[in-house]
Amino acid sequence: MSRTASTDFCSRPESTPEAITKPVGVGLRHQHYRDALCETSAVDFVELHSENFFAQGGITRSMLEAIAELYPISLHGTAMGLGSAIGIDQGYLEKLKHLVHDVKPFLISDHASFAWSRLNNRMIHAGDLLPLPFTDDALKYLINNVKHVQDEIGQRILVENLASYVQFDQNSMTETEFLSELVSQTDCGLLLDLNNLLVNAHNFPSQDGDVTPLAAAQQWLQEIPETSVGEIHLAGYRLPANGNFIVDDHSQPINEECWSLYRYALERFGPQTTLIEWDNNLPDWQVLTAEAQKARQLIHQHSH
Amino acid sequence: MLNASETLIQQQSFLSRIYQQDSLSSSQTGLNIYRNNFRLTAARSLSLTYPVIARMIGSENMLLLAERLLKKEQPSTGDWADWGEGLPEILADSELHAEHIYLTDVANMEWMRHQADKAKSTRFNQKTLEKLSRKTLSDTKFVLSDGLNVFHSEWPVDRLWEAHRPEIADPKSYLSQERFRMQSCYLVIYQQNRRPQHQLIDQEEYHWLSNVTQGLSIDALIDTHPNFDFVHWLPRAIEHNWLLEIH
Amino acid sequence: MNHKQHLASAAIALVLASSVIAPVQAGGKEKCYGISAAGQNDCGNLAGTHSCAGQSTVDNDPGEWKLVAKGTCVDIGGMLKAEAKKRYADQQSKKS
Repeated sequence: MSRTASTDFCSRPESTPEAITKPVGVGLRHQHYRDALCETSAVDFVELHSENFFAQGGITRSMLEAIAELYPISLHGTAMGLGSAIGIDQGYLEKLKHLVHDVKPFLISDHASFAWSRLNNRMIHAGDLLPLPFTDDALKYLINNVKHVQDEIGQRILVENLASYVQFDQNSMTETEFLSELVSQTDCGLLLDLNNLLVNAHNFPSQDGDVTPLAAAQQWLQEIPETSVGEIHLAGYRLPANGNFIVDDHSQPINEECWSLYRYALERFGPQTTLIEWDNNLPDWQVLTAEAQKARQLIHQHSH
Repeated sequence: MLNASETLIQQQSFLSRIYQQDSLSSSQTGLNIYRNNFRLTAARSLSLTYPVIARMIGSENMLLLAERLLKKEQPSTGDWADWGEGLPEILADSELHAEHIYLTDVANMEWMRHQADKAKSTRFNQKTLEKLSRKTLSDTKFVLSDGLNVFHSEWPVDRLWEAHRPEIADPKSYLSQERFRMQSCYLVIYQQNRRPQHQLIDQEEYHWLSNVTQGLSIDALIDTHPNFDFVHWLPRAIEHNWLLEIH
Repeated sequence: MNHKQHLASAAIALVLASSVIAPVQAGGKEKCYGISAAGQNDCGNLAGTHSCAGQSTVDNDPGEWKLVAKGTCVDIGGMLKAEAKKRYADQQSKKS
């Protein structure tokens, strides 16, 4: 990638991410490209959705090149379908490999979900993050796919816990047992999405009425191996109408419950690379980066 | 010991339940969240690929078209930008077609712009210009840039497209000012400066470029189009980034 | 030199004389920064967010819906029809 810096387009102060124990970034969406190119001091890294940059050329691609000159990049996949029993489409992996080669991301992640399957005898993509049952069989496919992807791209990946809107009767283990076994078999890391944990805890409350969603999510964190965490996601959701599921829409500021769980996670795991995800109803760049600043302060408080 | 294909079958059945479009209800079961999300994501993606069509017919109609298209063409790459090629055909089969026959061609044009948008960004390889000095041109060809297409419509789709740019607040009055005419148009659609572009061309150039895309040799091109001003065309083709190289 | 070779060398000469060079592709300082189109994978299969769906549900069986022309589509359809009639009338009057 060429290094024609865009400093003649926007002047910016030098950033000093070295002073921070762990980097804090934001999910970068197209509404904020211009801001991100002008105010690089605000965040330590940006996270991009890999599939948005699969095109071989065009303006999106040149935007990517400019951003990659200014920030460390985390590539966050939304479509790899790591738990797909049918396997992952090789064409998809080739595009990802090209992107990884060009961008040299410091993190690559996707979800513990499935996406590839067959419908009427054709291989199709579900266009979504579909949930996995926590069984030995489903785990076997997930492990094989994660190993395959890590071999193909030559880099460790992070796997994110899902917000799921269904629960499967056939579960034979807990989600934390499922993910812990994945880590031990593949040496991948976990991307802990704290908001997803809370959304699940609210949508599927504990049978024991005394356990709050926050306590349930804290318990979940206790069950995850201490060294397995590679990144933390924070986000906010819109409150649903009475009786409806919470949909994890990333449309709001991070709520107090989620900050509280974040502090708990920092206590348990120490400072972690952290990302603010905001995808719908996007605020100004300043509001978004202020959330990152808040996370950074909490990391400082927990870095000794 | 679990059956090895248990997860495979479970995933296929889960997916087909999301695709099932009958018996939808407003009750917000978990499965309905997936179903709604899938359809609305498809509609959103289609509106991004076909922004003019979306502006012409509105979001509710786009959702319905996305529904119909999903039955014929399923996403298969993991990138929503790859999905939606079949929309012109869906429009041609729709109840809008009789009254709004031009919509199909607007959609065709937009799909081509979408392809040009995603195409590999390249520049003309100047070194290959010398290949035109060969004694015989029967093995020499123009290689066009990735994503270039030519398009002919009986309708003024270029004007319709222009009137629906985001900066045009009122497409109808824009078209009236332009003294909108029902005239056919010939277009070349391509990528320049990393952006999708299109340009009006005349019928002769349209046929010339069509023959170039078909891979005719320069020798055959000149024979087929004896009156075409190939000499002045070449610098123009290079300037607009239509040409990748001479082969 | 035959006719075709003449044409070809004239074309080369014109390219060189007019110093046409391939356009420079947008580089790091492209002024159109920030107006890139929305990512098509930011919704739905995006990081579990379901941001497009939100809480919205569509109650009706979609099979029963009909496309209803609205907005500019109606206006332009009308204009096209008017133009088509006019053109047809013009042709008819020329014939007579």
